[in-house]
Amino acid sequence: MQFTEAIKIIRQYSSADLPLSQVRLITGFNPLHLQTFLQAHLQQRISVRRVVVSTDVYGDMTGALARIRPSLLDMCAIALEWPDLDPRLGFRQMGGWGHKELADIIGDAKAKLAAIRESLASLPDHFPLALSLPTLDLPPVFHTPSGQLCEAEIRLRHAVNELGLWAISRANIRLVRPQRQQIDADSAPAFDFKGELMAGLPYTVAHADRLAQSFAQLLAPLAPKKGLITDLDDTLWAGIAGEVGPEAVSWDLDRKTQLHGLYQQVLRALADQGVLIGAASKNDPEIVEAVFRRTDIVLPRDRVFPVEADWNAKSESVTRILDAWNVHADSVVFVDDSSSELAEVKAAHPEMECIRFDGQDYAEVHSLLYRLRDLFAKQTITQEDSLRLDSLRAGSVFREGARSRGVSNEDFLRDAEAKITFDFAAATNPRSLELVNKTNQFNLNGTRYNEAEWLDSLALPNAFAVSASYRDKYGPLGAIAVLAGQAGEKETTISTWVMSCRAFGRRIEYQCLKAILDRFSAQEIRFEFSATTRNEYLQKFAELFLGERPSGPFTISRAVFQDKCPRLYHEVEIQS
Amino acid sequence: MNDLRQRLTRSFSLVFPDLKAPEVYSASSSSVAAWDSMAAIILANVIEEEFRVKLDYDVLPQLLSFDLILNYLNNQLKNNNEIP
Repeated sequence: MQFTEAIKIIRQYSSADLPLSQVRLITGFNPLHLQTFLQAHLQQRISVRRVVVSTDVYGDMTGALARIRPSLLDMCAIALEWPDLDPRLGFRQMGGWGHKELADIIGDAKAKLAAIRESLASLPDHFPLALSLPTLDLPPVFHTPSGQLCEAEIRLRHAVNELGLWAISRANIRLVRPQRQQIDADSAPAFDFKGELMAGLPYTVAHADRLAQSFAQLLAPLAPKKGLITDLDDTLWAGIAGEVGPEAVSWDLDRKTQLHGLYQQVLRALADQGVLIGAASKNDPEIVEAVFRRTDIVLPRDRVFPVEADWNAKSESVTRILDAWNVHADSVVFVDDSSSELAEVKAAHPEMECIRFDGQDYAEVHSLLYRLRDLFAKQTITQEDSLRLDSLRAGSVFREGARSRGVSNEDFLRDAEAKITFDFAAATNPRSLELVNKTNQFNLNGTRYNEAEWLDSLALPNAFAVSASYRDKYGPLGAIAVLAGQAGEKETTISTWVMSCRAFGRRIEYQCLKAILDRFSAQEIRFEFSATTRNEYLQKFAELFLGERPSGPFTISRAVFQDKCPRLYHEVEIQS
Repeated sequence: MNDLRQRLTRSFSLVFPDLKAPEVYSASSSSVAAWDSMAAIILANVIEEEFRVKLDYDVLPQLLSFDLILNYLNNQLKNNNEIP
């Protein structure tokens, strides 16, 4: 991001009538550029709020940490640099360098790190905090050549890493990975020596931008993409399988096609963490299957579903894959070596992220490997993630089978041996918040929460949160729905209701309402509904009770629910 | 020169959004309250990106008004043969 662009973004939102998102940036140096970039990057990610980044007095790291008031802030970013541990580890103060100072410097640094750790430990464990350990090089404080790592420096770095190791164990602290900058091909220097001496600005503008971007990524992570559709020839493997034969396409070092093997390796890792991997290829399906039967393939066939291989337009294959996944295009990445195929798919699915795989450009592919990890990055891998592909495959196979056998939907539901488990102690389960923040089609109002906001909403009087898990004879879907709100004597209010698209068509939504009515003995349920561009499925569900699509909050009475509710076949278990 | 002046005006308006268009031409660090040392650095960064020139920390203390910056840019870009 350019500095001018950052200012424009900030100006654009400066008078917006939006709720505020208060962010504190703590640095030991003049935070000017970092503050500007952080505000801009966060604003891009949190467009429903006006982001305000405030700073404390710089030069007093421990004091600034002690002055953090989590009740007045939404999140905090801390950029630690060496002079924060001892001024002699910087260039702005001349307290002495050399071997006589080292023991004292290390002692002071350890004491300062202990104080920082104590301050961080005193913050509530739901207060989001991003911490950057020193990113700049140390000054020539040591007596050894600058290219040699000495014991004193190792001790110093070890002390910092110990703080990092402790911080990573805290639920609310995320650490910036400084090596991220080296991935960028145009990586500019980090340190501005003149800026440091003349204005107390040690970061180059480019480095301030990079660090701010990392902070924003940690503090306001984007919802991870759900699926990746890959081309095959010259993308998943090198060569055109239909021309050279299934045995001659390659992805290895010997044939200088390791780029494709690495790409397969990333896709396999993504599949293992629950990302849906599909393939769309203009190809002969039998040849494709022959390649996948090779024992040296890195991405096995069973990790890819579906594989659409035919000679039709690529966008048609992509559309069929989206249908099989029941996932919206904006949650999916498409990778292809052909610019024209990318353009064709982009034209049909403008919201899909389309990325070129250029097997001739090593730097680009190197960046792509990291970019894919970023697009699908998750803090935790849940049991549901590992179930996703199997449940989709099982559901798809059954539906196809049922269609071909002429089995009705009612028969399908009756014979599915479905069981739903409602857990009324689901508030702190990370899967609950994850579902709330990434579900679009069946989402009551589209409201997203950070962890602190979520916990605050559940601290309201009579607040509840319940998750629903589903399994049937085709396999488990895991936790697929979350409802949250406040229970009242006559009326229960639901402020959050999401359900995974994998669970559609199983009448789970009816069972959810029944569970709420039974649990709280309410005569009415009030839904804090708000239409979004994506929650059409929920709107249609509401229409069944209301007779029309809702335009705002609505109420369903017990009597209406009982009148309209179809027959439910699930076995229901209530926990807590 | 007119194009230069317009582009510089845009840079000023971005950094000092409260400044009305006619006020930009006479803007100086003494007439614009928001023009402090930090604003000067921000202005320098914006001008650097707009004109692809380097405004070194050494010259910032001399660039205390719209006219001074305009003249400085004019000379710099002439030296770089970017202005005929």
